[in-house]
Amino acid sequence: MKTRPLMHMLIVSLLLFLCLSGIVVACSLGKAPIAFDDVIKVLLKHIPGIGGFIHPGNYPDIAVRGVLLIRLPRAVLSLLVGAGLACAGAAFQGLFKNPMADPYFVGVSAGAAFGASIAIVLGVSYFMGISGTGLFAFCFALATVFVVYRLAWGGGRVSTLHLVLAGVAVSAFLTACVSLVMALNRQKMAQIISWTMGSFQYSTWEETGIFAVVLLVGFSGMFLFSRDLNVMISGEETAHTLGVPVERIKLILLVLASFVGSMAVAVSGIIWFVGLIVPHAVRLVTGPDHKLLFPYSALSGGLFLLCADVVSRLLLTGEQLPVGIITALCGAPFFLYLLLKNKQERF
Amino acid sequence: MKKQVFAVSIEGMCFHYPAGQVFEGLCTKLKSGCFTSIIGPNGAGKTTLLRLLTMWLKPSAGTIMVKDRNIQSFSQKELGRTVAFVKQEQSAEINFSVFEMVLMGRYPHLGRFRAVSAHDRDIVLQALEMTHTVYLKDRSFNRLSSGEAQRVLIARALAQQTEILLLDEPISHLDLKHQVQILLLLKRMQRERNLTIVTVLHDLNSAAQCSDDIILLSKGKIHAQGTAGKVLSAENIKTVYGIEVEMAVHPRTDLPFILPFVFN
Repeated sequence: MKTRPLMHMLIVSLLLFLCLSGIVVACSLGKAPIAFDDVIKVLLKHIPGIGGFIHPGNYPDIAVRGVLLIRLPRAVLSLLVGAGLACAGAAFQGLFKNPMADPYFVGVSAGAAFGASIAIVLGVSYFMGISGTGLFAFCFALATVFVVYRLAWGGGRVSTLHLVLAGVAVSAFLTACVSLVMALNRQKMAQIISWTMGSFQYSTWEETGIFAVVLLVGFSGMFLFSRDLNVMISGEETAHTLGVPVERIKLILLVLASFVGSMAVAVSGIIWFVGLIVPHAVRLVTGPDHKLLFPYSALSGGLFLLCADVVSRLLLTGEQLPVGIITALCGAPFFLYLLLKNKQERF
Repeated sequence: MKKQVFAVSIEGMCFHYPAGQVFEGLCTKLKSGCFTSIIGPNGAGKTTLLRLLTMWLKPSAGTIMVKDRNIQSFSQKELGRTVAFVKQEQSAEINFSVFEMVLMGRYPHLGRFRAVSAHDRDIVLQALEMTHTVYLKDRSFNRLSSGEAQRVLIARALAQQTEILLLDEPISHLDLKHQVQILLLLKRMQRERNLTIVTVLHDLNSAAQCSDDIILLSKGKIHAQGTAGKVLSAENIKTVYGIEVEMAVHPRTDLPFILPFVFN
């Protein structure tokens, strides 16, 4: 193992710095731009401990509200969701030994879309700070994963192949259900479609807080099991004989990744490509070691989605594009570039 | 108590796949520090037997004792420190370096929060030295030839520091030179580390040359077990494999040598 801890520390710090600067930039840019130094002052002012050293009153009041209530939660949430999706994607790709896996692989997106469309049709509004749509999406997504897992269970094991196939079948079924719901409620169709495209337009601090907790738990868990996941790359039987409790690790990682994935969908809708491309691209750079893959994916995924969200806000005047469109438009060509550049390198 | 003589003893073991019965009341003992070969036609249950010894498959009845302890009482990591297994083939798409691959052999010795220590690295280096793979250490595993890959996988099993090493057809897809190299390596490991080696072999002559004990499996039953001279007879081979062979004696080792022939 070529461990170069210093280099990795440097890169991680650089990525962290970029994420923080990204948040400042995201708070500054918009229809009513706020100067960078005002943003920084407002942010510092509200950090407990050092807030007292910042002179109050020398920035416009509008900046405070604009930054703290609208742009900051949105920026932070997009950063966290990007990190969560990328980590969950990395976990799924490792678990399934399939570079095409993403956080929605086992039916999370289809389940969430079905849940959300039901919530939209029933008109369930807010519930404990999360939108009713989000809550329904989350519950249906987790339920779908559970059903898929049960379907793949057999003989004391869960075969990853069955998991993938069951995921595909259940997703197809639920996608048809969503279409059915839309066909029966044509007046809500636009709302459902726009939800499925993913957006941070209505992000709140409550959502951000809840997601931060989920992400923290999910990321720590996945990181803790990165060595096991590394061994499992050699195949489940081999991992078993090396002492890895394969089924337990599979279940734990599946639960963690699905939980993060479902929560991400609940707070932001379905954002494609982040969970697929980011871990894959990171893997081309770091190699297959999950101990590096998880932190690197989290930071780059967060940075990527943060930038994509800023672009989605700024690209069109008067209207906001769903961020999912931006991630796919930028992500896919970048992915192809990496793929062609590293043709001989494989997973 | 007397020093343990049997590394593995199996009593009345039954096992069946959903498709059908494999073992029905299998009984056998594998001696400690011996080189045991399992031979038999395809579908006789050779690989299944190894998989039962790794607990990847669980018997429906009977007991398997490993080092005088019921295998069911081993925790997963304990088993990983007691029995190592080199699979027949390893899917190639592994981007880890050879050193990292062999380091995985230390997994059962590591706690969840314990990092890899210098001691672990030493053991990995020793395993690489023993298998003559040190020069491959930084190479990516998926770039190795089959002979190199096989030696690396054996090195990983060595790094597990187990007393029992199971191998499933370790030489089947290798050329003659690499076949001999692997068998010599296994014999040396048996001698120097006092390993108990249990290997499935298809080549009866290789089995004859290196085994202390041979198990001839036929349709889930042990047709014969013992030394090469006892098990490898034209009669046994005729019954189990259903072909006529000529028997000879290896001029250098005096061990039986099997000469199959093709009729015209």
